Amino acid sequence: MSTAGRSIVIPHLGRVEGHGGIFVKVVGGRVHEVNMDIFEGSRYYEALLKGKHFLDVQGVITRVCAICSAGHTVAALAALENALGIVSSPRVFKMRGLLTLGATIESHALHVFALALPDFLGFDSVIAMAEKYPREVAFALKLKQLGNRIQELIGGRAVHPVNTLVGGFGKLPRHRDLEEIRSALSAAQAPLAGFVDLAASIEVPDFAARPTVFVALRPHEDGYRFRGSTLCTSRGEEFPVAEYRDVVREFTVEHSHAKHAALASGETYMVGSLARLALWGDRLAGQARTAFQRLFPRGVEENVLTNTWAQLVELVHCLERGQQVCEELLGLPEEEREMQEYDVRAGRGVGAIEVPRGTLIHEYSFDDDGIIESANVITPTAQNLANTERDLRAAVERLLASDVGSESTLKLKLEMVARAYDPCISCSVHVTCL
Amino acid sequence: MLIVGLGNPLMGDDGVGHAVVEQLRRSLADRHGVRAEYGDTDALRLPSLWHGEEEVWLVDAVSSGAPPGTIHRLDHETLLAVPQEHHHAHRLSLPDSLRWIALGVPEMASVRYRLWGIEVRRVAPAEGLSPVVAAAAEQVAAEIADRLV
Repeated sequence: MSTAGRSIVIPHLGRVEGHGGIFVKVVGGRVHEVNMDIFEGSRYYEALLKGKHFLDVQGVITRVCAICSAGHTVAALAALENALGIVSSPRVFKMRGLLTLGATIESHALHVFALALPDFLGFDSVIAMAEKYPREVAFALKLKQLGNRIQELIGGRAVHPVNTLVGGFGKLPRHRDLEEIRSALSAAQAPLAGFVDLAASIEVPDFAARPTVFVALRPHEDGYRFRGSTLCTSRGEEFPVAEYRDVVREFTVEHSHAKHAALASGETYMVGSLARLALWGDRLAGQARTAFQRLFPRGVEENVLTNTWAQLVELVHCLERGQQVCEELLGLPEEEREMQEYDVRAGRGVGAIEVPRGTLIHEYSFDDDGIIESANVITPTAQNLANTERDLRAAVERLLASDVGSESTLKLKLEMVARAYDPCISCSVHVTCL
Repeated sequence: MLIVGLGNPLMGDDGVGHAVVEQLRRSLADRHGVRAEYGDTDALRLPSLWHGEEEVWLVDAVSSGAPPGTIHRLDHETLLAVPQEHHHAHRLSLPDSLRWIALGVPEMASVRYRLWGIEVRRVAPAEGLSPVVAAAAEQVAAEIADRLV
């Protein structure tokens, strides 16, 4: 057997946020090494927070990433308010939920339609796709804009929200604006159902499929929700989010500026839409349930390439759930602002939320004057990186054994695996624990 | 006329588009019919900034290998003809974003674009521009103001 080595190098991952690549080393016909290299420079946002007042946290930490800024905002506020003993009023809780739905619509619309679907349909880009699917491509942008509009209404602007505060909101939306959003969400349902039909006609390859542990938050109430306080695994384990350090072990690797993560048992795991569907898909209702049954007729399978379809199911859910939340907010009296009084005191708080890419955890501790003493953020992409490498290894072994074709075809398929996670490398490289 | 500065001012020279808008807002404060807006990092949000203007002038950071501070001037046809691979999951390249906007927002299909691209020296977490990029930003702001006279 030859021991000569062969390297497969993808120096830059296209259609992935931030700078990353894939390196595979094959020796003697066996896959020797698989790395997802993250070149993006570290952000050090957590270090920047030390010594600042907790009221400054949101303004700094949301700038980890523009697309993920709403998720970081809601997670940071949850952690800070837990530390201060603040319990959100029903209106504040619903509004943060609507903000999260808007961010998920924006993010999933872009990833599903502009970045992943071209792979499955054999186009180079969403623009090339427009030649055959002009209406669909036009609708996808409108859907993304709707997500932006929701974030502008609730957060005060489309990125880096300014209206979201510890204790509440500086300004509440007018009823007529909520009615407009509700109508827009309703109007988007039928065109999105057309996408579900299109997706159902596409066969998803299984070259990266392998046994996978899924992790997601248990929804805070009956129904499919993006917030909760208990981390659950697909093996049936449950842990309070406040004890996440006992569950999620972060570690550094030589080839990546981003930390990797594994469960305390050492197993890698996946967070994100597919994990949420695997754990809580039976809670979906309405058209989202129909879409779930249509796209996952055999239930959720351990194949990361179906994560894009899981995002599509969640898009349907977001449109329906968004209308419900608007309805609930319209049932409350129209007011200018809503803020809770609170006393500043020393404390430690953990907050978690399901954002488009998976479970996002924030933790802060501060002194009696509210000065931050420590901060820690664990992003979904950082949690997924080790699992991505396992999937890539499985894919390379299977593809090499099955005469995949040209080197460029092999590289494209490996990129599809990495892209399926919808990684946000900008978010993943900030991690600097204090 | 709508002028939009793209980029992230917390990432060093990536904030050059914002710097130009900041200068234009001072120099064009009383100029009727001209708006200068911060576009942040997602060109796909242009439709939310657009109020029916026939022309949209864009200022963005560019990294093409030219010396830092080099000013690239692209007219509408040249800008939209740039073949550019996607390099980000969360945002498409500027030309692809403009092409998608033309498809997805038909009322913007007739908008004429112009780009001032300023070659960057350093894109990393930091506030403020490199001196050579700051000088180019001043030059672009003056050039745009002159064109509006």
